Amino acid sequence: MKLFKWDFLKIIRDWKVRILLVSLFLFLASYSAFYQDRSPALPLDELRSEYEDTQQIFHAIPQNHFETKTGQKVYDKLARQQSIIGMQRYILGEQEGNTVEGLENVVSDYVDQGLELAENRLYFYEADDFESQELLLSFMPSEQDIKNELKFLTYLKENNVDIDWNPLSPSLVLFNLINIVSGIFIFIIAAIFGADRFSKDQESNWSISQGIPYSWAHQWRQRTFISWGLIWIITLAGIGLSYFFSTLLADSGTLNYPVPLYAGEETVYISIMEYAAIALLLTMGLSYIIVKLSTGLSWVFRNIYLTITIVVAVFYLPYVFALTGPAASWNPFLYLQIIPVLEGSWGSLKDVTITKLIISLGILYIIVEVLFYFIFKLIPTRTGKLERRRN
Amino acid sequence: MSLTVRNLTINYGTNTVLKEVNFNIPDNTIIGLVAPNGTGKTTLFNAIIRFIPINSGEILIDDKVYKNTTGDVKALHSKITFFPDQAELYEDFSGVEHIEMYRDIWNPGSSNIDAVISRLNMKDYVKNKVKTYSLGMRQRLCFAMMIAADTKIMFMDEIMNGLDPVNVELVSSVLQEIKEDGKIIIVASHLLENLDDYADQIYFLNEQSIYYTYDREESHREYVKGYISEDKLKHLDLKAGTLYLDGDRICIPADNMSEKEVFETMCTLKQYSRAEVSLGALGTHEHYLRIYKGERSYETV
Repeated sequence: MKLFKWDFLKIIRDWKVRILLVSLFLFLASYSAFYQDRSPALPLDELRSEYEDTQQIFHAIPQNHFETKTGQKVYDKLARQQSIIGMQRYILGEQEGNTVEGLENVVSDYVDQGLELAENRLYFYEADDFESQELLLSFMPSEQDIKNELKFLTYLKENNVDIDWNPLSPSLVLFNLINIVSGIFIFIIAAIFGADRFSKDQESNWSISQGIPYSWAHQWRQRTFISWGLIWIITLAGIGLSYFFSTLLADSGTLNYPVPLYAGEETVYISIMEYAAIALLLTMGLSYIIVKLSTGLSWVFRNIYLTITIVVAVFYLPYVFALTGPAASWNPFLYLQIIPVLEGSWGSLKDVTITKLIISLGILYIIVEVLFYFIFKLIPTRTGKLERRRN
Repeated sequence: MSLTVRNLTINYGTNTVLKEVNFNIPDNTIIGLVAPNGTGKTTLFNAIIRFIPINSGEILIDDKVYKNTTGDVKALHSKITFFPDQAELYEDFSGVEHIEMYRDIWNPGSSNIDAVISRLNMKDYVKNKVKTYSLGMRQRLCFAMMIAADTKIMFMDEIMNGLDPVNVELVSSVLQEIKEDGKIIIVASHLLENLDDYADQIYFLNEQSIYYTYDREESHREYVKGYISEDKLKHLDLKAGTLYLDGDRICIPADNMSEKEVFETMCTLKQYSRAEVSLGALGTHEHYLRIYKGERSYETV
């Protein structure tokens, strides 16, 4: 514990560390302000586009194809689709929630209408005897997307959550920020923080930092924990402040708003708050391993750029292992990227799950521990060489 | 407590720096380690504390062998401290923080920081950042850190570098004080005459080994010591066993001289050189000249 205090002071008094921490905090805290300058596609615009698509369908499909029994049903559902989209456009345009006050009987409820819309669209996939089914489906989202939309709307209904007309709402900005933090961003931060932890001592403070009665492994774990702790104190504070700022800039949205999470073979919808907790906890776990690797490599190499390059390169290992096909889901290195697992981007590999991700983090931790168990048997000499103990 | 080194051999590639080094040091002992630069003093320290690989040999403390395992190296490091290089202090830490750090790491139960600071006259500057220190202040701080660590075995490499005469004397007296706590202290220094003030034994490293050991307590033969150039040697009545050394240093055995002869010899030396003339046992300086520079023939002059 006594050594912990001095290792902490050594790290926190390093100007490079201070500048990095301040930069990290400013970036995260100001993210929401920068995000407001974006021009994302508004849900209202998307509905407008869908409305036009529906009109196009009527023009594109020959009228006689609507004359069969199925064709008539398709026609009715398409007409209803146009009506629903029109009302949904109006509801979103009013920016009041799932309906418009005083006009509930006219415009109905956005979610109920959305559910009906999705079910109608699923019907189009079942209408095999409709002559222009192929043409009709070319205007439709994929069946999987419609099913996901159905889950999304069901979540809204069951949890009594309003549709968010604003893609820049605080909760959606938070969702985006967490996805950024959980990606290569955390690899770079972890690599930079760890890259100097031992090399600085070895280069500038060799005689004062060698020969102390604590094993290298002990010092490694301690310095890793300090760096990791500082990164996450600042990151969580930055994310929190960013969310606070965005609530000042926009008043829509809720942390209960649903976002997709890939769970094995299908997508489920959970609240942004739950997603944030899952993504951040997994990222914290992964980043601990990355800081550990970076800190350990700083004991091996005195060139911080080399350490940073190696650690960042590790981020791209999953792409190599993804090429190994279905067996890849059991390869722990595949899980060095968290977001593709949560988004289902590795879905084609089959059986890529959060459970396997958690197990993989444990395996990666053990791999790093074993690797450095052998590395720390070497002697770091003043000249920068690692010598094998001979006797 | 004792420190034993057995058959220690260190190679750098094909170059053998130390070969079959052997010694045993009991507690309450200060060893002066003397050798010209590049002879292997620091290598010997580094090898004992296992900062470098050992090709062969054993390190024993209290007859227990400390091998190259992580556990043994850690245990070894809890018993030995190595004098830090003053250029490698943490510039953004204060002196008192450095002392506390060494205390916390090696001797967490102790609270003697103030006493150490006071004893080494560091009160005026010890709370300032190290980057404001002069060389002498840094050197005293390094010494204070060693005292605060208070390990049983201390390696003091180039401890007197940058110290003024007052502080050399201060550090010398503190070394003698802490020795009484049962410590084993090895001091590598180029202030040879200063070593005679506090070292119990002097080890001379030469030809890859401890070439010569000289125990100050056991050196009783007295010499008249001074300086004289070769062309003036004929004015002296030189006895058998006279040492004529590099730099015109001459040491004439006085044990068979009468008081009058001693006096006359000293007067003769003083007559031909302004340098100090003294009567006493051979010191580290004379042994150093004899071992590393060689004896000059005075009989054929």
